[in-house]
Amino acid sequence: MNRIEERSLQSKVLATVAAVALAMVLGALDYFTGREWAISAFYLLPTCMAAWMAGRWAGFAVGALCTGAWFFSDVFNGATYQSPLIPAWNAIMLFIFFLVVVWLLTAFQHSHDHLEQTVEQRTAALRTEIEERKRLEQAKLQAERLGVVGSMAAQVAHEIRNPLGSISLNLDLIGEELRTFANSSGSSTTECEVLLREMRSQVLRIRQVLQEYLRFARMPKSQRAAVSLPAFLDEKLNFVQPLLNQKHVNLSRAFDPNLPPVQVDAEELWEAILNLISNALDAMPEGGNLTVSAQRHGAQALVSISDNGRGMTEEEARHLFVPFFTTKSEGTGLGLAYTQRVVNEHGGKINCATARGKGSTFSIQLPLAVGA
Amino acid sequence: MQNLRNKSVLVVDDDPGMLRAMMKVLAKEGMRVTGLSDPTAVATTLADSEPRFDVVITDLRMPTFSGRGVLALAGALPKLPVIIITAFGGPQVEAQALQLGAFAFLEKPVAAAELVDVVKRAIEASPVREV
Repeated sequence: MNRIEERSLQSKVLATVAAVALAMVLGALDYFTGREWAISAFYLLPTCMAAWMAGRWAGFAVGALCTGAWFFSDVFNGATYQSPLIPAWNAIMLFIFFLVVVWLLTAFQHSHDHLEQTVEQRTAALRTEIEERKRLEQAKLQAERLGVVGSMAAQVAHEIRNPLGSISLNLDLIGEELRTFANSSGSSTTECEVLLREMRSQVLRIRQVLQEYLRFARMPKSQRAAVSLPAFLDEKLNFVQPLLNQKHVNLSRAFDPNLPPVQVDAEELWEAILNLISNALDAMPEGGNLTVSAQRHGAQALVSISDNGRGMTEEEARHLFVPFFTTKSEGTGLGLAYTQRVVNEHGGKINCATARGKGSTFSIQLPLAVGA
Repeated sequence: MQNLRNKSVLVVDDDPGMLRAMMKVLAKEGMRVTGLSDPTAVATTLADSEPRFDVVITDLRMPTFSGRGVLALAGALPKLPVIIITAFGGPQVEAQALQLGAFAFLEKPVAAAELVDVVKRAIEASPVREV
């Protein structure tokens, strides 16, 4: 029995006891005032009180008690009737009157409660719907913003790729010229070759960043299927295990084997989760503990990725999912934005709980597949 | 690996810097290089060239005449391999280009060695023709 029910039972008992006491007082008052003073209407007070606060049966019982009190005060007052059955008949009439009042009152109360409950339910449903709409609107706004950012990024990336293509080829040509020159003149070109190598590596870096931007901008159409997260994550995590070992990261897995499947594009989801794992590794340069879990949370699957790394400040956490925001010197700032986009496009949510110096936990909620 | 000396290549790219760089890289390999920055001239060049080209390298997104057009024109000539090189790449574009008959799909920027290697493979894969 929960606390509310207990309190309600207590108040029912208290109300009944009070109604019974009031009925007794009224009975005594009725007796002492004599039969000339009619106070029988006051018996409605304890009867209605018991019915309203303790229910129909308590109302009937207090009604019966009031009828008895009236009957005995009437009889013991020495009233004389033409027939001895008349006071009994009057008592029955009074009791029937109480029954009707109790019945009507409790029926009204029932309908009132029902109405109140319906209003509460509808208000709750409305609140949920408003929240859901707000979330969808935000997701839509975010998607639109990302769409604009994405297409701009794509355009810029493409514009850069053309001159970069020519720079890359020209660097190779310069390298060849240098080798020819070195061979013919016998001079050392080592310094120049080092510089060229440096420039080539920078070209590669720009190329990688551009690829990341473009991957973000032109997300392919999802190919979704029912995926059992425990088996899927287990398999994928096995692939990254060697990397984790190398980085001295201890991986713990906590999967609910009975977790129903989710309807997702497995590769997209893995890429999103991999971004989180990669961030966790960056947050634990000296190694640490990484926990990946997949559990059921109502009608959702909850995937959590926790690390005990350096964590983030509140300011950093606020801007986590904003495209191009990064705390890494070599980051593009698109990893988490991409992850959020994938999760949102699957009808899910992603949250982050973080504390500086303690670590971060990213939680992804995904709706379970229909029929799960 | 196939020697590129005296092989003939048509390079089409509306970006002059990229076109020049590709032409130089291929010329260094001893190839006879024809470069076009105006893609609308591809049809005439392909038709008029004597001897015929061994391979075509083309950009994909160009004004008035796209790389897909070049691909279609080259397709009219028997066994002329076409290499697409583009800044507007992506898995879908690549799949489409390969489906349309491109020999290879490269995304800019590419290294000279990579470009030369693909050209060699393209020529190797195409049957020997009389010049």
